[in-house]
Amino acid sequence: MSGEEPNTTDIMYYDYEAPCAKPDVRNFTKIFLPIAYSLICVLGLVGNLFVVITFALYKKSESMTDVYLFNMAIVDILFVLTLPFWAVNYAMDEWIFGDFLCKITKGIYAINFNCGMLLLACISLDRYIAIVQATKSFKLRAKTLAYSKVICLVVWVSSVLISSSTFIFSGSYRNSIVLNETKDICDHRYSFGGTIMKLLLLGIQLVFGFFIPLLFMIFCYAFIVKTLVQAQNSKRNKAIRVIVLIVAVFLVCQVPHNIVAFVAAASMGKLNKSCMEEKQRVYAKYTTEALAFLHCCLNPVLYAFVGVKFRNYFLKIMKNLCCVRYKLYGKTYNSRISSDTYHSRQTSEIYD
Amino acid sequence: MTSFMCKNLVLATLIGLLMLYLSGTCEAQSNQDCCLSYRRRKLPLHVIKGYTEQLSSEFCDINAIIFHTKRGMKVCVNQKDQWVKNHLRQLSKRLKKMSE
Repeated sequence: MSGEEPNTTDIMYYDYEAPCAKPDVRNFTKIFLPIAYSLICVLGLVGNLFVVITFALYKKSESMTDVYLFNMAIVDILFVLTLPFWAVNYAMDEWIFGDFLCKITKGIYAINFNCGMLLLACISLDRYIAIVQATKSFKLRAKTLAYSKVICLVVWVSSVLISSSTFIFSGSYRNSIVLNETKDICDHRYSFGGTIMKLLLLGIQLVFGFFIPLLFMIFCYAFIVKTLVQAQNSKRNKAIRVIVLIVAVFLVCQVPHNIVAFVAAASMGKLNKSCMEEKQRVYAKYTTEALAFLHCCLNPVLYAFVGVKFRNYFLKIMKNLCCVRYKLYGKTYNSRISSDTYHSRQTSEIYD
Repeated sequence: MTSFMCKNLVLATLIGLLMLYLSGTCEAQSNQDCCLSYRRRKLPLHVIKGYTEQLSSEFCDINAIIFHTKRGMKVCVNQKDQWVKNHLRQLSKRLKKMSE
């Protein structure tokens, strides 16, 4: 790169000065991200729409976990709906949707990424109260269920209000590094702080978007498993398996992304980073981020469809859909489920 | 027992609020070119065609000035270096002359 300058070759070896060029990274993001985002969008949309429809039509919310699950499906739907914009952005290597849509998609991304984490923590907390504190909590859970709408409203309103910071600090702007640039990009742009501001937000994201939900899950599910192991219940093994699966999927999806974010935070603002390492970090970042996004496609499977009751309702819906298709003017189906089998409370909290 | 439940709810809500507040998320456009280091040695003024600015408040990590040479090379320099300041002054003079 630096061979053309008046000065000699010896500069090349110890005086790196050209910007780290990443055309190969852009070729990768041009192909990989649109495909990954489209797949996640379609899968996430289908799975979560089924959850929402099932809850809306059939399943009465019987616990806070149900309410959280319903809200998480909506959060996930909102989130995957922003992915097509990012797929186009990376495919064209340009943000073409203007400043307002940039702020909106960034804002929704911010709300949902963390709101999803919060709901996962809430679900583990609710299950902990239900199973470990079972005797104390029976009446109380029924009471809080009455307030569930209020609680969810508080969560949503505060999340919208609070992610207004992302809304304010994001925007589409010209890449100022390239001479006579005509393409816009959509990204954060801080009016103050620079590196410190980025570092602060990154650190806080790691702590609150990963470590705290993780701690909640580990704490709650460890006590749940301990209680289940002691319980004399024929279904406890399945319940424990489901819990292990939930935690494992969370770890597989979130840990790589957060490690990469941690590495980025550790080296942020440092001078003389090697371009090759920087590129490797970017490859790792985009790959692990897609894996983290995949989590929202798996939530419906892990939390809703694992449940026997939920699956029954879902099958009922599918059956009705087929009937509508084949006998358009046929008799209307009675959608009520005749009898609810009553399982033992402890295991039913996990997978019913 | 009600207080136990309330405590949990308050705790969950508080943690939720904190998490949401700090929803910084680092979805940065990391596939763009950025300066990672500075050239310390002086560059002759006559090879420089123009300059652009890299801001740490945007998607890149560090502040930098990028000198674009007549041969189409980009050179990252530190705007705190004296020779860079001098060059920038000369370049803006040149620009003024051109616009007059």
